[in-house]
Amino acid sequence: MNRAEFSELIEACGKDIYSFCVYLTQSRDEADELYQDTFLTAAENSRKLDISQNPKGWLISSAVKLWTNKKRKFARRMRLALSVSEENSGNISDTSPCPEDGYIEREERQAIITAVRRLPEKQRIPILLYYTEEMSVTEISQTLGIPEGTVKSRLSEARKKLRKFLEADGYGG
Amino acid sequence: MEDKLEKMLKTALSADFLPEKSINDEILERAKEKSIMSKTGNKKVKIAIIACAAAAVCTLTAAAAYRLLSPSEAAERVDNPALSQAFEGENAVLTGETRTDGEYSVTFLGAVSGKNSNISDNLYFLNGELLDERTYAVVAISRTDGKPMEDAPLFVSPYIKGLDPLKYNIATMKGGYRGFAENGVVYRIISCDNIEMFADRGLYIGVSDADGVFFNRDAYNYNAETGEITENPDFDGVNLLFDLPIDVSKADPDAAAEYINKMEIFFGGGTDSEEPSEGEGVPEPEVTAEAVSEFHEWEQVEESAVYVKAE
Repeated sequence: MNRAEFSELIEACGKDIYSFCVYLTQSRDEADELYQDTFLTAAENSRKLDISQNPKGWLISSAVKLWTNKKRKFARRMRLALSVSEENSGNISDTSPCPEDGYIEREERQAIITAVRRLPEKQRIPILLYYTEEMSVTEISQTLGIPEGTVKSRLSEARKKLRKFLEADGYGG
Repeated sequence: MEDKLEKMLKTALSADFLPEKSINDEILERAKEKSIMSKTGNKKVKIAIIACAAAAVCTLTAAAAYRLLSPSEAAERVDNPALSQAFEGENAVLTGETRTDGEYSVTFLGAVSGKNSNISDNLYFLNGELLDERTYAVVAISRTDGKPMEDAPLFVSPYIKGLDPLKYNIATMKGGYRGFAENGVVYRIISCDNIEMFADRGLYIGVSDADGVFFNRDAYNYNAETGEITENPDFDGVNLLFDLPIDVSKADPDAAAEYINKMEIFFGGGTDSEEPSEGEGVPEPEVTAEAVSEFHEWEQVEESAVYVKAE
C-alpha cells in the first residue's frame, strides 16, 4: 500500500473507526491513541489488507484486538479491574459534535451512552458495531471471529440490559 | 419500548466523531518514518493471492480444501486473544500429530500451561474459588470420509502416567472446554488444572468415545503397577492417546504430591498417597458421582459462558 492508498483508506474509514474507538475506549485521549495504533497496524500489515475488500472490518477487528491487549496488559500490571476511570465520564458527551441538540436530547443521549458503558465488553462491542458502524450480524460475526448465533445472543442480552438500565433511569415506556 | 430503544440507540450511538486532522497527518508521518508503506502499492501481492486462490480451486476438493487452524488461531476464534498469544509464546508445546481411528481423524495441535491471568482472557471460578493455574490443549477432529462436522461426541482429556485415568481426567481436574467448527472441522480447546507439575511422570492427551458425556472407563487400560496408560485394543470405538511432551524441568514433585493429596481427600480416600500398595490394585473411585456432579456444574458454567472476563 503506498501513501496515496493509505491516505485514501484513512479518508474513507477514519470517521467510522474513530467513532468506534471513542465509544469503545470511552475517552477521547484513549481513542486518539487507539485510532492511530489501528491505522499504523494496518500500514504494517498492508500486504494482508486489500482495500478493495473489507478494510473497515479489518480495521475494526484490529482495533478490538489492540484494545483488548492493552487492557489486559494494563490490568495485569496494575492489578486493577477497571481501566476507565471516573474522570473520563462525560468526556464523550462533552466533545460530542451535536451542539444543536436540545437539552433533553443530550440528556437522553448521555443516559444511553452511560448505559452502554455499563455493558460488559463482550456485549458492548457487538452493540457498537451494530448501531455505530451499522454492521450486519454476519459482518460482526466475521469481524470478531465468533459465530453468528453468539453475536445474536450477545446483542439480545445487551438490549435487555440496556432496557433495564434506561427504565431504571426513567427513560422507559 | 422495543422500537423506542432501537431508535434511541441508533441516534445516540451514531458515528459522528471526527479525528483531528493533525492525528491523521501524524499517522501518515509515522508510517512514513517506519517505512511501512511501499512506493508501488501491493499489486503484486494481489496478483499472487488471486493466483493462489485459482490454484486452490483447481486442485482441492471441497471437502479437503482447508488447512487446520493453529492453536493460536483456534484461541482467537473463541475470543481469547491472550490465549492466542500464549500459544505463540515459548512456553507453548506445538505438536501437530495426526492419527486416525475409525471414522475420525484427530490432530493434537498443542498445549500451553501457566498462570491463568497470564495466558487467558477468561477467568474461571468454581464455587467462588479462582482457578488460576491452568493447562489448555487444542485438538482438531474431522471425519475420514471428508463429510463436514459440526460437533464431535468425543471425550478429550489429559491423563497423567501413574494416576488412574478413571479418577484423574478432565472431569475431576476442574476442566471444561470450548468448541467450534470451521470448514467442517471441529476444534476443542480444553482447559483444566495445570498439569505441568506432573511433567516428569509422562503426560497424555486422550480423545475417546465418551460414556454419555463423561470418561469411558473401557477406552484405556491402566496398569496400576507400572502406571502405564495405554489404548485398549479391544475397545469398540475411538480411543486415541497422544503424548503431551511438556518439558520435564517444569515438574514439581512437591506440588504434585500436594495436589494428589487434595484430590484423594476429595475422592474420599483421605490418604496421603495415591499410589496403590503392591497387590492392592486400583481403588474404586467411591465419590465419582460427586466428581461428575462437580464437572457437570462446571460444564454448565462453560456452556453458558458465565465466566468473568479480565478487564
